[in-house]
Amino acid sequence: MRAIRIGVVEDDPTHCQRLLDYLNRYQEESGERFTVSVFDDGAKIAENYVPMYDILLMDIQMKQMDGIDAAREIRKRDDSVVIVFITSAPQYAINGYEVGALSFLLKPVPWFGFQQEMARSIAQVRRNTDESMLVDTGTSSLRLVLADIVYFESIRHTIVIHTLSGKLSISSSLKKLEEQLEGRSFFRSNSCYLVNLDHVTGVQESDCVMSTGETLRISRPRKKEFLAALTNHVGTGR
Amino acid sequence: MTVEITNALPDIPRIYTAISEWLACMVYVAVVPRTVSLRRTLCMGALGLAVLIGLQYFAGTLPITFWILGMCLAFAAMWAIVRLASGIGKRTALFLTARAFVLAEMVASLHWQIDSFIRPSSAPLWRLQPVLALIGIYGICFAGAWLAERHSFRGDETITPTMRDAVTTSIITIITFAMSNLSFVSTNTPFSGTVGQEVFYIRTLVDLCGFLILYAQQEQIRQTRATLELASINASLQSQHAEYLQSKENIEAMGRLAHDLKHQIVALRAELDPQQASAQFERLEASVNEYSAQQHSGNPVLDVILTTKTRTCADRGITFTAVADGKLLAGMDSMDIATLFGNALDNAIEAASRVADLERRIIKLALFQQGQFVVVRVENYFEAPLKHDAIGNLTTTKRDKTAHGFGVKSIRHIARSYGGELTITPQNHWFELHVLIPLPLARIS
Repeated sequence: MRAIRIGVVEDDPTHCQRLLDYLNRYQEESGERFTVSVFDDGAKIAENYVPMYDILLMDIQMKQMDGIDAAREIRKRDDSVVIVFITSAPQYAINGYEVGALSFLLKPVPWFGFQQEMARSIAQVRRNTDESMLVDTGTSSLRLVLADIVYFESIRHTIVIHTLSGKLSISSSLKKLEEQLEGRSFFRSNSCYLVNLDHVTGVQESDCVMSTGETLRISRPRKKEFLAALTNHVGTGR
Repeated sequence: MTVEITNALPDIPRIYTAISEWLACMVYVAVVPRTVSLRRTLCMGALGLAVLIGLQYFAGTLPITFWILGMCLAFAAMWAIVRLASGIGKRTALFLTARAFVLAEMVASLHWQIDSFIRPSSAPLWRLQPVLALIGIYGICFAGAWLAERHSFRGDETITPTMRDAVTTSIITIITFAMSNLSFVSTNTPFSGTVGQEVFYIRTLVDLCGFLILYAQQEQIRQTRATLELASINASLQSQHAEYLQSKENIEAMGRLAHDLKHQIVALRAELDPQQASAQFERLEASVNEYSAQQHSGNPVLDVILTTKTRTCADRGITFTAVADGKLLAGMDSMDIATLFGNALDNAIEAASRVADLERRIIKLALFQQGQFVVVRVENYFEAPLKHDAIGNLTTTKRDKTAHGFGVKSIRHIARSYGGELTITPQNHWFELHVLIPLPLARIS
């Protein structure tokens, strides 16, 4: 597995050194490999930011540009980097949701908390890396990125794959696909739909609203199970 | 067992009894939530039919004095089938088997009564007409029973009946069975019939009464349980709200205190030599600031809860971090907010407090929007083993089972009343509670 690229943004050298020590210890204990870059102010990473990091460990209170502002700048260019705030004042981090940072670490950072947060962030990085599946269209085989698939629709004996970039027909069955995609984010919402929970943006009565704006019927007996699967998926997701 | 009947009508053929018993078992397996795979249910079902038929024929070879033993064996087999095919607990299985047993007796008896009325006693059993009558009567009766019982046992979880309920059920079953078969043992009692048809009718009627009593009992158990649960949920709502009001007052008082202190510091500073005292006062001011520091999530009710729980956590050495977009809760009733977050955090605090290593006492809360959903996630690290009930639901590890375990129930109650859902996943020592509610937040029930 490739090394995980980590940016450490921290203006206090003592705290910074502690984080670097922890990162080394984590590498030794887990067998993960890290490539670490260090910045001593938010402005330094936000300026000319290149979306190349997997995880950013970011202090909040810094002199020139604070962590939240820096993260806001970074988010304009990078949706997927995992941001972990590190702060001594929890009231500053409560707004972390604005930049997709849903938990943070309190200074002085304890090893155990750090380790748990790293494990979670790494799992998220791994999830972000695009998984794909091979489909056989009859004339050729195609590789589809799972994240691009909005839902599968069964029409008689063909399966129509609705992706972000268009439709595609294959001969298969939802049952087979369901088995193939077991453990992924797909859920059978109806006898003719297998939807990607990542693309479900809303639920209106008995329909689910997809990111493409389409509404798909959820069958009545599956409604409860669907909501539970979605709750679990969205809750664990980030 | 037909020895005492005056006109010696033949009693129900063994195979019919077996089929009836088996169908009754299947009715109850079908109405309770399964915890085993469908394949196992089907295998156990098929195996069960063979066992019941075998047992009936075996019992037929026994002398009449062992008749009770034969019935006991059949009952035990039914219990095993219900238990193995659905995966429920022992006592629940007993509870259901008692019902299945009475139902089987009733349907078999009813069918035989009708059959012996329309079919001349010399006519063979295995002709088209009697077989159709068998299929028709069994089909209608068991389908009816399924429809009725499905309603009584529906729900996400089968709740294990209390010992008292199980005992009552057993007594009703035994009395029903004894009374319905009295005429077959002796015609010389005040409760026995003497004419064949009459005997059959008595048996059907007594079994029907038994079945109805059991049905009514289940209905009553359900009602009692629902009332209790509602009362507990309401009590928990009330207590969380009361706690919220109390905390709100405390925090306001604290705010005033801090405000006054600041003024005093300003006054003091003016009097003393600024150079010397400055450093000391700054420290004092900082500590006051810390005291008055409150969470500002964007929702006043949530702020109070977060602030209170932050203090509780600090007292217990728990690291509590919260990322929360309180503005999302704008459409939610303040009592619901207090209950949802209060209960979720109380549970987490309770579990985290039991972790020995202070560094591992961690609670994280996140409230954010994803798509058109409000998502709440509360996580805590835990070490104590979780307890599950017979079908895998979490149960409380606290001693007083009736008073606790409703925290999660009342959160689920709230989530559902806004059209949302709650899930719980304990994994790798992290207990995660997720709530998902569709936007815009509005009570639907």
